Parts: sequence; structure tokens; C-alpha cells
Amino acid sequence: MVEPAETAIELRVPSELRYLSLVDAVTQGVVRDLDWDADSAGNLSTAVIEAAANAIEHGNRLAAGKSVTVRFRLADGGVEVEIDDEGIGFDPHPFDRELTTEDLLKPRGRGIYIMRSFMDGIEFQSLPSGGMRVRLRKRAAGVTKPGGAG
Amino acid sequence: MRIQQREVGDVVVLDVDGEILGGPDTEAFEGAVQSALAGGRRKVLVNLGGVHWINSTGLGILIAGFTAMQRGGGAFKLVNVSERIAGLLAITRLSTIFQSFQHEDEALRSFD
Repeated sequence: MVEPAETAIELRVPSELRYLSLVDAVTQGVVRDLDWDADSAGNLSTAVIEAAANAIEHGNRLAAGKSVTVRFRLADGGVEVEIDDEGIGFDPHPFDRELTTEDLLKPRGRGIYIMRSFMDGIEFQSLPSGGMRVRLRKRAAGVTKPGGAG
Repeated sequence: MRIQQREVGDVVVLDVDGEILGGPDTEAFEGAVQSALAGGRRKVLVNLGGVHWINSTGLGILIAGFTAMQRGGGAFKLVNVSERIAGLLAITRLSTIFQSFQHEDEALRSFD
């Protein structure tokens, strides 16, 4: 039996927020290959940026010398993205919940909610090295409309 | 992120360029809003036309600006919101808090 074709792309960035632009650009480039519609592509990119920002800020605590690795796997028109940090881990569960009316004007605490809202699947895993891995999954999305922005 | 400030009548327009993602952006944006308040301005319009994306920390920066203006008795609105940012505002229900407009003329008139 022939396994379905899979493409893997890996990006490693220093723990500086300015590199989130690079993460966005690479994510948009990856999605371009999948021919998704603009909304689906933007939502994936937003979720990946949230995970990468958490990894930089809360995982690696902006430490020079620590990196964040973003790994894309494309198969069957969908994508799985792993975002690994080199921190000491954290418990995501207190932040993994629906937003309430009381949360609306709070300045923080939306990151995991945004990831979960935009993706089909999200998992958190402690790495043997001590860091955290966030795995995001999105199935094949709507394709670009003919003549639309792609 | 870069911010340029201009005045149209009694409205302070903040033209934001780049990405809003926290770190030094927080200080820069808060500084611009506080400066408007200190100058007696109570109407702030944030032009997001040059903003490619915002993360959740960036949303927090906008919320802080909105809250500061609200506490000062003023209004804080958005214009030129891209579809991607509009989607983020919708999913976080911040679209129920921020008044946003497609065109600057329309946004400026809304302060009257």
C-alpha cells in the first residue's frame, strides 16, 4: 500500500517577538501550497502565531539562546503544526476555556481560546527535554475562489 | 509597529503600521493614547490599514487604549480593519466592544 504523500517544513527562530513576522510569512507560504481560501489561511496563521508567541514569551521567557521550532506537516489537503519551546513547561488548562462576558475587557488570556476556535484540533504535550509542544491540526479548508485573493 | 499621530478636527487619528504584538508596542501605543488624553483629546480613531495582523497581546493593547479613553470620558474607534483582524475581533467578541468602520470619512462622522 502506498502511503499518502506528506510534506514537512521546519522553521527555527530565536526567542524574540519580532520573528513572529517570519512565522506568519512561512505559514502563509505553506498554506499557499494548499490553495486554501484567504479566511482559512489567515485563521491558521493567527493560531500558529499565538502558539509561537506563547512559546517565545511564556515558554522561553524571551531568553537569548533559546529557540522556538515550528514544524509543518502537510497531508491530504490539511496541515498539522507543532510548536516547541525550550522552557520549563506550564499547565495550559486554566487558560483553556470559553471566554465569558467578564473576560471581554481583560487584556490577556485569549491565546488558547483563539487557537482552539480557529483550529480543528489542539494538544499540549510536555517534552522530555522540559519544554512544551503545542500541536495544531486543521483539516482541508475551502479552496481559493477563482479570481480571488490567494 | 510604528504609530503616526495626526489630528482631523477634534479627532486624534493614530495611523498604525506593521504588526501589533506586545513588547515595546504596548508602551508606544499606551503613550499615544495617554498623550491624547493629556492634551484634552477625547476622540481617538485607530487606523489599522497598515496592520497585517494582531496577536492576542496586541488585542490587549487595543483594549487598554479603549479602556483608558472610556475612563477619560472619551471614545476609541477603529478604521480600515482587514478581514483577518475582523475575524479575530469577531471570534473574541471584541467586535461587540470596538466600533469599527471601513472608511475614514464614515468613522470621523461617527464621532459627531
